Amino acid sequence: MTTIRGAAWLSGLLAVALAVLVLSSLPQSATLEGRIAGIVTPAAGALRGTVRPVTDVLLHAGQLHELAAENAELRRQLERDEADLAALREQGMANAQARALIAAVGAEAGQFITAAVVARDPAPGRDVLLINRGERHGVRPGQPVLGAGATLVGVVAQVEGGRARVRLLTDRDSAITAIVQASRTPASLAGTGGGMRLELVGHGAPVAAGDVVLSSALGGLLPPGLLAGKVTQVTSAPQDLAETIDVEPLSDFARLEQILVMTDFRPGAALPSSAGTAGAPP
Amino acid sequence: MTSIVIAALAALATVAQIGVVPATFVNPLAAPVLPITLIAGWASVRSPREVWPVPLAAAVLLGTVSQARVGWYLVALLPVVALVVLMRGSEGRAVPSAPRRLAYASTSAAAGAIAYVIILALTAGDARVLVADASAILTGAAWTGTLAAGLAALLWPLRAQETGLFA
Repeated sequence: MTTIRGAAWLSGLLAVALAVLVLSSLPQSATLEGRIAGIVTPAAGALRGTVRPVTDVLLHAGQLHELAAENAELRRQLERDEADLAALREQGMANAQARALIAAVGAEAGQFITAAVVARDPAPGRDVLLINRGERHGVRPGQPVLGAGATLVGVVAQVEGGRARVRLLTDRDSAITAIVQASRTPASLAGTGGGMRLELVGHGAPVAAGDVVLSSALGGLLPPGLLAGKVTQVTSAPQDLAETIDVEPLSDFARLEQILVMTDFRPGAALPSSAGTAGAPP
Repeated sequence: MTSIVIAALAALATVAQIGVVPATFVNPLAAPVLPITLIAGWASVRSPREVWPVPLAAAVLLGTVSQARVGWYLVALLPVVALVVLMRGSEGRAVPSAPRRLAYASTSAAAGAIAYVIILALTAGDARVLVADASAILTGAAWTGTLAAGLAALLWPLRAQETGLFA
């Protein structure tokens, strides 16, 4: 009897699920979802902020040895970078003068807006962020999204009034045109779910571990020269037509909290004059 | 009253799933699914019929922040409910024992978590993740099962008890 009642009750839930799936195709459902998300995401953000000290300790408790080694390496890196800094200061002065010149002739500066990451897609296998800027802030699908160090982290996938979804480069549905900086080898940078891979690179192409991967303007879907990742491993088998090239992001996508959206970029339109300002090499 | 309490717990668990779990687990697939923990833990000790608000509330809240539809989340949360119903149904009129109920909670939660990932991955059109991240999925299932057993142990004093004529 209990089992029969349980089965009936379960069938009821399944019927509700199917009804919800059918109703989700109605335009009103998106509005309703948007309203509920407007309540859920701030609550989730507040809860995350409250427990962050605890979660940070939990995350890093087992990594003390690694952190100490990383700290020592970073110190050595800092010493090397200080030497480079002097040279960069000189270059910075030259750049400042160039910018002043551009401003004097009235060229538009690149437009960015900052956005906070309010949630991550909880569905498994999706590397998608929910940000607190949307259509009313000038965000449009296809616009590039930058993270720490002006590195490309993803592309706006979907926009609503005050929110947008950003598909990270590591998402399995992500694929952008890219170029290897050192050898100028064109490729497609595809997400693998947590990582990235350079595709369509012919056998024997001059690509090596450590090479920087930039976005390419091929197709007009992204501005050129945005830092997208670094090659970590190149493997090739004689029978393969293409190399297998693993690429890692230049920033930690799991810890993204603030991002920049290039709101002056229109995918497919003429590239803005400032497209190269976000981390592009000269 | 029970429905209100469990609906509030479901909302809290789901908000924690959205806000806290991604900050604690680097790989989201290796993280526990808290609404499933709640369903399995509660239904194993109390009654499966009491948990009906959990899948509904969790599906609505998860679906609004996700690209996956609310209905698919609801479908993905049903296997755990079905498992608990089956397990409790097979118990018959036997006197409930704590180890058995904890085993129900952990087993149904772990299996339910795996089913949840499979359903959502398939509806996203990405079956590759099931093979590529199989170990992470199993880790997430183990977490979910362990937490469900812990919740069942906490709820054990509140279990539904059949009382005799003069109890």
